[in-house]
Amino acid sequence: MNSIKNVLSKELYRIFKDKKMIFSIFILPVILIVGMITLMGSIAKNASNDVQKHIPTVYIQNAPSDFKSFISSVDTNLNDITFLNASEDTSSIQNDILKEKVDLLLVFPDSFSKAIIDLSGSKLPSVLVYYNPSVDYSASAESTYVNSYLEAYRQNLLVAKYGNINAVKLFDVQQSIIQDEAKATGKMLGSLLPYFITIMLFAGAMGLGIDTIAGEKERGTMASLLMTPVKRTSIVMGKLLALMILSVVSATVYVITMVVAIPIMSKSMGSGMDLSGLSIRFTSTQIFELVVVMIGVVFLYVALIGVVAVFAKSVKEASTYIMPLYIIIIATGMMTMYGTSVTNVGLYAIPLYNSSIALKAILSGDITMMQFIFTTISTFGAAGVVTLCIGKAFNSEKVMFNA
Amino acid sequence: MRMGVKMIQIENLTKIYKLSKKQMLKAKTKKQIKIAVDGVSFEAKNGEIFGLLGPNGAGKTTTLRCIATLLKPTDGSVKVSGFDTISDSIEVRKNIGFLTNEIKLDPQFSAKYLFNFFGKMHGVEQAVLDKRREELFLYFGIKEFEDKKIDELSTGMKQKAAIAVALVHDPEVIIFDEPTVGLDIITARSVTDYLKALKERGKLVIISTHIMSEAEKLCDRLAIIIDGKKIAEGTVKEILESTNTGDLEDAFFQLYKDNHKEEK
Repeated sequence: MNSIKNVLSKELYRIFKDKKMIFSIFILPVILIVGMITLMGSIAKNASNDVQKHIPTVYIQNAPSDFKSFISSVDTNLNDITFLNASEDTSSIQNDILKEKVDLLLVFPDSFSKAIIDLSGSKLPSVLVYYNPSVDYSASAESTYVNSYLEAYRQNLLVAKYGNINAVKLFDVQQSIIQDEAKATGKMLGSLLPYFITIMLFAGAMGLGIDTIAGEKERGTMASLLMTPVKRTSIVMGKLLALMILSVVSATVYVITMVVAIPIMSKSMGSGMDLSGLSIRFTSTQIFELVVVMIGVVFLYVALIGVVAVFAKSVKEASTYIMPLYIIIIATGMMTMYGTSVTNVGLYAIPLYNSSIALKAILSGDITMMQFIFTTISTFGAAGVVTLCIGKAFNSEKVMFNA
Repeated sequence: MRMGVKMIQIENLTKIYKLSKKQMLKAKTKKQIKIAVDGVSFEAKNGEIFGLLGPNGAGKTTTLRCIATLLKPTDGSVKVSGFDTISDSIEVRKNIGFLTNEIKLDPQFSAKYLFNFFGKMHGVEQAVLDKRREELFLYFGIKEFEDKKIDELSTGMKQKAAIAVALVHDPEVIIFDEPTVGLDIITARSVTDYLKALKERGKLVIISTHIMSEAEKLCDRLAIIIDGKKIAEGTVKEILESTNTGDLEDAFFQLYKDNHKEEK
């Protein structure tokens, strides 16, 4: 027990006495996240400003005279609206929409004004709208003309025809939202946080994990540690505990930075990222479940990093071997970003995958006791087995001394 | 300390490495195994400096590593202070200090930190630890550099710090693989002088070397190892008499000629 503590405190000393380490654990995350959000926000803002500033190039064929006068009263940018006669061919304009030279084409049917007064025929007259939804300018013009201008024009006509618009509207629709705020917040958190947390936990321990095992082997400093009269498993546990602490600290810094910085940044830039619902309220059961699952995840991650590092002959080799594992971790995290909580209990027995789906289910309050127990047992079990493997490897002269 | 206690007993020590394809290619051999040590037996007592003399690749380092519990014998047994290196490896490690050029100190830490760390790993009490650090650091002249990172020390200073750290628990048996390789003559002299001082204090010092003069001057008794086999053992005088030669170098070549077979 004492020797575990000795090894642990030496490893922690190594981490927290190193300026580079302090920088990469505490300062880099803040710079990275704030920088990323600033960049993303300003790009999004620029793009939306640009669309707002853009004056759409619009062609309107066969427009009734009252629509012309309506448009001139609501749209001040008449310069870019071209009115066409019914006889003109619009195929070149349609082609220009595809080529992004023209944003919108409206085609009114022949004798539109007459057709809307005499509705005895079975067919309603249609206004054809041509636009290109994959071009922001065109999509924005379509939305303005269809939802604002044409709709307002229709209402004007209705008022003119019937006097009271309610005679034709008959009823309104009013929506009121009924949802559990905590669950909604949890759902959003549940889709985002497990992904980030799993990756940060792994990434946080990866560098030092390789250095503290493969690096010590390569530098020849491991042998002096193995010459001490303590159990090899104590050395392994000391090193893994230090990695777990580092992993938790670095992931915590990332998560706190994200939770604190994102709302502040998005508010100051008005980029429309709505995180106002980010009020985190957990029940004590949720907190307990979170803590247990997180400790299991961290234990499993550092054990996996350790087992890769111990079998690698050098730091370089370990860095190569760790990549597939890292990709698996990222993939399991991504699987939980979308969709609802997994209900199949059996899936909660698969290590690595289960911790991601369990985190998601805990955050949205969906996890059952059975799922929680399955996750806990399989995660800690897997971590224990991997740790035993590392212990075995530490006792193997072939692995430790390449003999 | 009683004199003449058998600190190390080696019986029929054999170490066979299995070679990987890559290693076979490198060694230019078609054999899948390499017999590094082949049935070596000897005993060494406290209060002496015992030397393993032989050319590179003869099996000296492998023998020392087996004594130090870092390697497990394929056959035979090694006992240190009566403890078996396999079944009682932790007891053995309490009694030995092992030094080699390949074992290095962590470059990110200071000599003082590492001395204290390894002291605690050996269960040495803090008061004893402080006293011993004072003594050893003073002797090897690292007192004023004790707070510097190992990384910042010169090669000789690093080696001296490594020696001090290896002796932190005042072991009964000191195993030293090629003690003076890579050291300047002044540092080498202070190391060999210290080994003699350890012997005077009743410790067993066991070294490996391929330097004849070092073996002649330093060692009370020698075992000559060629191709993994022990071919002679005794004091320098005894070896000279048995080979009928005038100095250790002549004796060694005589033995080498008689015993070395070129591998086919």
